[in-house]
Amino acid sequence: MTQRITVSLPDDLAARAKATGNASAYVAEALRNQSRLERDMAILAELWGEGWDAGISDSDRERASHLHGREIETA
Amino acid sequence: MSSDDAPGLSGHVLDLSALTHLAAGESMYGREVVRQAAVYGVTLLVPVLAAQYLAAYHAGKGSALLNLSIILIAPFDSVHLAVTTPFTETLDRNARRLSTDLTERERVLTVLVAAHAIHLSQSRGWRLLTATPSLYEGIDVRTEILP
Repeated sequence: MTQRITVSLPDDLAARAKATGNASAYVAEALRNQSRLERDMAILAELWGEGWDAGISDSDRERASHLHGREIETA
Repeated sequence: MSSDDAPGLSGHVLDLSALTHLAAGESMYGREVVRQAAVYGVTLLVPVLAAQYLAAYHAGKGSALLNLSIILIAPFDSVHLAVTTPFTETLDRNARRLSTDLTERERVLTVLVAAHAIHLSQSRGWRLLTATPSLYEGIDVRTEILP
């Protein structure tokens, strides 16, 4: 089941969503990913405690980015 | 979800030492590996025996790691039995050298999970995350060391 709602997006994001040919599906997928990520971050907070990421250094971030095959992620 | 339904195209394999290391949040690097994996949807593949161990012996907080969307539990079947058995002799020898503190049960568990993890790593071309790299001496597998 779906619901029709009206949302306002910045021009760049609206253009990106329209360019996919199915803006609704694109936005739905983005919201699903955001929801998944929020749930995962809540699990990590439960597992390691609030502020669990406070001591992560730039070198930890760089090394992890390299491991994941990503561009270097900066804080 | 089965291991054939991986949510991401990329991933890493965890052995027993990596799984317990990450569950306990022992290093900031390990925490960051998990955080970035969650952000980018990178799969962390866990041999079923390791997951079973964590669920049984670290019930509650520790096993919460298994609830992450990026964690995928890899089953073990008769095909795996054939391809993992050749690793066990070397792993067992390395495990005995690695620590004399391991009980017989811990050593066997470590070796069996490691053998499965090696196969998963080799078959997918994914790195094997471990906190005990010397366990894999003499075995052709790409490891990433958790400090």
